[in-house]
Amino acid sequence: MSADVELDHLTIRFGEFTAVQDAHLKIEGGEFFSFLGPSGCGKTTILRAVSGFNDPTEGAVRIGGKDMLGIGPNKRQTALIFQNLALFPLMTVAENIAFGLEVRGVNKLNRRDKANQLLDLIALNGQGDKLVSELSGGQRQRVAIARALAVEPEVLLLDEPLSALDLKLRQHMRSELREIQQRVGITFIYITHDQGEALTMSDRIAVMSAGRIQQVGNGNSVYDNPETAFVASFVGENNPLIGKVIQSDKDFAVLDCGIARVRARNLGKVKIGDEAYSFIRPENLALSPLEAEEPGGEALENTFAAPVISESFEGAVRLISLKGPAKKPLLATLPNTGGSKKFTPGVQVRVSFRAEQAVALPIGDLADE
Amino acid sequence: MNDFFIIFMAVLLALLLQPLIQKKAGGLWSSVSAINFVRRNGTFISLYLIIAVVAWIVFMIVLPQLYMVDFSFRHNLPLAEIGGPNDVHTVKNYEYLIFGRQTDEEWLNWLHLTVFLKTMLASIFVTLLDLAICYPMAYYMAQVAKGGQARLLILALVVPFWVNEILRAFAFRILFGTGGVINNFLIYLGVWDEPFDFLRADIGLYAGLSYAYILLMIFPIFNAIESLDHNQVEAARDLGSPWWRIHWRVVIPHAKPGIASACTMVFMLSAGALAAPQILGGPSSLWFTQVIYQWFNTGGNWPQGSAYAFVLLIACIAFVMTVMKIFKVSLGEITK
Repeated sequence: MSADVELDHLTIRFGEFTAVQDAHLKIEGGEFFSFLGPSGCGKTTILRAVSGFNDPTEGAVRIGGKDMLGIGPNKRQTALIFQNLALFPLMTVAENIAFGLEVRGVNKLNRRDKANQLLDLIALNGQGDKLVSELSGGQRQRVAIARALAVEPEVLLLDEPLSALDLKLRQHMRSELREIQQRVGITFIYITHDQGEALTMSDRIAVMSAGRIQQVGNGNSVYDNPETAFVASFVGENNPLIGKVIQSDKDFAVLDCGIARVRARNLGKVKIGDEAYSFIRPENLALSPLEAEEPGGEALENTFAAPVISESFEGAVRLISLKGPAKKPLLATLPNTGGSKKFTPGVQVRVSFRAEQAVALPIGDLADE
Repeated sequence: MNDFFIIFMAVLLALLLQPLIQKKAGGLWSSVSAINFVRRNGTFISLYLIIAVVAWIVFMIVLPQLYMVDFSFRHNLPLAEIGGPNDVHTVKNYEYLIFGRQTDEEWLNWLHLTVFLKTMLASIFVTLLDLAICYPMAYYMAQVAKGGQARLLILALVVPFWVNEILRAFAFRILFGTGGVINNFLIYLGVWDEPFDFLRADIGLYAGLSYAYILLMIFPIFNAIESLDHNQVEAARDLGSPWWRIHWRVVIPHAKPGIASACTMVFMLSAGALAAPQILGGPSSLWFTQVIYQWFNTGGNWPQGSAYAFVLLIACIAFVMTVMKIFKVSLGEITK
């Protein structure tokens, strides 16, 4: 059984501080839904409101169409996986997993059976009598999942459960979580500040900043068609160029950014005369040697010359930073095709990009690095 | 008595001087500074620490107690006979607690044995009462109250203990006496017409003792519960646990060492309390410490008094150890 979760104009305040402002969305039953945002953006507060540890100040949380107001966390058909897992250290692995059943008055024999069944699911069979402290990080992670699944929740809530693991294990657990979700078929609500996790696992993502939901959509649409400057700068790397809109039609806008005129896709958000951002992703910047004869006079569209600051090697890609109009350097990534460094610091190179790969968006807060 | 003391001091001196006698001074010095403890703290501070701790343990704890043990195995002799031919060891002081005088009609010394048993049982009761009062408060302070609120509560608990013990005990007399605040209030409310003698029923005593050791009960438990990750409480709740099961399965197992350490202290101190039973005890009931006090003071019989005191000490230790064994708490754990 899986249930849908509806946030109906949900606002949560702690005293003067507004943690969540007017969150309004519906998570479908059986969906893998992520809330993505920097720490302090209110995503954990939303999760705690769904699990019942925080009450809405305004609006409502509905699970399976039923208003959850006044229903405690122990009475909701949700199960929460904590960031630090919060396994019970004084109980064995099997006791941990079966705790929810013990609470429900299931007898010892059936509890044992169910625990063994779940230990099989998480590939820890025969380890039920160990203490939690005897397990590795990844195993503990799986025990936490099993403990939550044991109560057969309709919605599983996950609060950055992978943040304590090392990189390799984290990547492995991503696919494992996704697999478990598809197998049990219940709604997963996943909280993370790691866009890689959100993009790889989720059916849909809600990007949050400062208590507000900025954009809801699948990974592709959030990455390719950001709706706010925050989303553009938070999800993936992006180069912001600021300028005045001098031309605008239904598909494209042209910004005068000083060093160049930038033609960028307009998603209907900017008008002539506005100050606006255009965002170009590092992988969409093409670098070429500066030709001896520069066409003088009028500046060209979507191309300009910039001096190289540095080049660094990151394995699959080379990261080149260039002196741009802003204080922050412009970043370009090129696929690594072997060989040594290709760009000498200080040398001018020609930077160009296609209009379809740039997005024009209104001025707004950018994500902090 | 005196030779015992002299022998003990001689042994101590020999132990301290032994390395000096055995090695040359220079060799000793280099071996002392090779010890890690000395290297870490410097010669002066390490010497001070070692001497202070040894002196404290030997002179304040071991020696006086050994003296009392020796005392408890001797006859109560007039000053002139001490060291004389009659000054020999005996178990008659211990015998007396159990069998009384041989001329007594009863086979056993029921009077003192009853007082002893009652003291133990009453101390257990006081300990359990304190636990019942303090556990919820400790939990609230450690897990529920927000920072400032918890500090305020601690202050509110500590400040009343600036009032000294004797003043507090007499104040409790006023509170619980037949003409006291509680009786007047209950008569005013019409709960009963005649004043009820709380002191005669020992309710005043139990209240006084429970209150006296409330801090010793609350702080070890508070410390233990405070170290519990609140997520564990929430995880249990999220998995559907009612509040009592959260305490039974998560909080209490975690806080067990703290609870054991608090209960041990409160039990030991209740059983050994003197002022509160003197002032708040009913006229018909005696606390075992009062019997001991009588032997020392009015009876002038120090050997008898020390024998009684040691029986109390040993019984308390044995009881605490047994209980700890039952609840599977080790001595090492309660120091955490």
